[in-house]
Amino acid sequence: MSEPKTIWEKMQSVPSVYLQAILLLTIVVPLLTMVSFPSAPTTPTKRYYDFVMSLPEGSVVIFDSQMGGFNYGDCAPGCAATMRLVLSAPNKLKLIVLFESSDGPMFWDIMKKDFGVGLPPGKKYGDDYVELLWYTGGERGVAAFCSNFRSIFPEDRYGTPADKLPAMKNVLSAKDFGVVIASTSLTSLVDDYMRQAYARYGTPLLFDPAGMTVMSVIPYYPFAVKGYLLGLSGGAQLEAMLGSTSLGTKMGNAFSMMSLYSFVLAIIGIVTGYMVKRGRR
Amino acid sequence: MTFLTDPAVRYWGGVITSWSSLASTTATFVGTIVLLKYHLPRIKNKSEKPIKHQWFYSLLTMSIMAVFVVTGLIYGMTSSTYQWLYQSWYSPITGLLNAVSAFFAVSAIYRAFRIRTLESAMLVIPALIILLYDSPLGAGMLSIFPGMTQLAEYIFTYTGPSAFRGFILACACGTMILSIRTIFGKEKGFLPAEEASVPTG
Amino acid sequence: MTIAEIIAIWAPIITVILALSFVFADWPGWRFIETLLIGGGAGHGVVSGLRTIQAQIITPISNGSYIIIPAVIIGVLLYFIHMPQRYRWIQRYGYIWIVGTGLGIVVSTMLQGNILPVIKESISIVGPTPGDYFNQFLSLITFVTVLTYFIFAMEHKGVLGGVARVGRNFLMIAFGLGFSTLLMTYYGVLLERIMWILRALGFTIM
Repeated sequence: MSEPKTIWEKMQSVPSVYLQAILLLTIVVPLLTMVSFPSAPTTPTKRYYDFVMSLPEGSVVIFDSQMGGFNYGDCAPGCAATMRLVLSAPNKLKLIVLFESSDGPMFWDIMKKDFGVGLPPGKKYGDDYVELLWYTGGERGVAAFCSNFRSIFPEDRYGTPADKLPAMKNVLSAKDFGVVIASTSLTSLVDDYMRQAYARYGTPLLFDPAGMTVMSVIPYYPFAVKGYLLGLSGGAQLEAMLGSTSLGTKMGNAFSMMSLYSFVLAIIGIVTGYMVKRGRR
Repeated sequence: MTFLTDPAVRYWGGVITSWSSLASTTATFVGTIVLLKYHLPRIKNKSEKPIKHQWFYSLLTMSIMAVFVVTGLIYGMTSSTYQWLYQSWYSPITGLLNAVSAFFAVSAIYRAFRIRTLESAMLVIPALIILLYDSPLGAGMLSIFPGMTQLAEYIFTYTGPSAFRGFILACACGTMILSIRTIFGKEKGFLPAEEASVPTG
Repeated sequence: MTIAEIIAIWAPIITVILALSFVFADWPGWRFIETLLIGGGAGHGVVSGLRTIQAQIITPISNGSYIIIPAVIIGVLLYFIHMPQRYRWIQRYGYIWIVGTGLGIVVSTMLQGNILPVIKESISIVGPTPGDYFNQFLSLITFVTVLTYFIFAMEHKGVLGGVARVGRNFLMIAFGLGFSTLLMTYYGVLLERIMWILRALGFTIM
């Protein structure tokens, strides 16, 4: 291949390692400095927040976390902010967390440690908050616990029988769920809950989808799905709404820089491509 | 189940649904046995296939698996020992391959984003607008240009969801038809090859 | 600092560096990471599988819930795939049960769970202003044209071809939206990993 001659050809043949190094800088600089950008919540985030706050007192919030290594960065801010929101809501909600896979509880613990989320004062494990195990079988598992919750979750993650957990006392099927919130990067999980919870029992749904899953959620918004958090930025927005500035906000700042960099890179790529093509004619 | 109100039907429907999930729970180790059947013969025969020193890597795999199993059984999954093992040795690398894709995506954005036809323009331009709209800084920058924020919101609220709805409806109809054909035995794609070739009555 | 503490700090850093090295070369350090990923995942799967069996099957049966015994039998049938050839046919019955119940669960709820909500969302007006009516009408046009694109029973010619082409362009807009949100996921994962490396190296995240 001949040496690039024009400035446009030279720009097109920039080695990828330089582009990737600048990407790394756009991540590191906001994280290590005080760079911060104001985060205004979008309408779906506001509806997510409003719906949780408008639940009847004592409602049970089922949170299905599908967090794993491959989507932790995208889902964790939303999970942390939702846990804060539900446990600090004035309508005395009960949060029951279950998992789609066996990695879920491990990453849930990592999330709680990273984001500093825990039980607020006045809240007790077992009364207001329960962590369960995971269900197997995908949609069959969702269908099973929506029809008979205890058949799939007879005890919690630590081996305590469900009968001894006050939060699970009246939770027997999806009819007893106030809302189901799912944090996921699986398109199929959105459909699972649409079919098994919403279609069968009319259970309202909220989602905290990873970026790539939001395409599966938005077609059902705003009637079946009452609100959603758009990945990492949605989690940062909810955090801002709650008045806390933890890791989610800092990740949102870095994410802003990365997005802006990608935008500029794309524009430069399109312009240089066009100029090179024009030069060759 | 939803259409029939007889309590006995609803009860047994729920029971059968839970059997389906519990059967999956019981069958959890089918994949583990596949792994053992792959690696153990290679260790026994000191195999150099498919890669050089394969037997050593198989031995390493089985050893690491044994460490996790023994630690989990002795200390329990919620113990700090198992948590350390998982969080120090396993979880850091699970998402890393996905993370590396971001580097390749950056190269792709620079070299592959080209607007040559109307379709490619319809793909690239909304992608760039939404890329800015998604982030706090980008949304602020979009608001500088009159109408851009509204355009981004319009794509995100009306155009994108509507197109995906058409997509979902088409896929849902196809899935339903395929499922009904499978129930009636007309589709045999889920069966093993030798059974799929047997003609139905 | 004890040796255990030193290992506790450096083990994750070393694994991440070795894992990232695969971008540059396929070498034994990367192979070690591969074995760690597979072996660790399999080991964790075994431990979690045993925990789930204990919680969902052994404990309920020991408490008198014998109605789940058929589920255990169906699950055990699936293990026959690993038996000698003359016994492998037995696993077919467990497999067919799983497929059959899955189909029943999906088909019975697909109309109310996927098809009707999507149609309802397309024809419902979300706001009171004339602008909302207009927007929803445009959305309906998008929906119908995209659906037309998926009609494969007839050749896309004439009016049908024109409408399908419009639908295809709307699909391109939607895929552009999908691409940017997919990029979000990759960036989120990378961001979290870099943040983790920085914290492991002792930096404070501001």
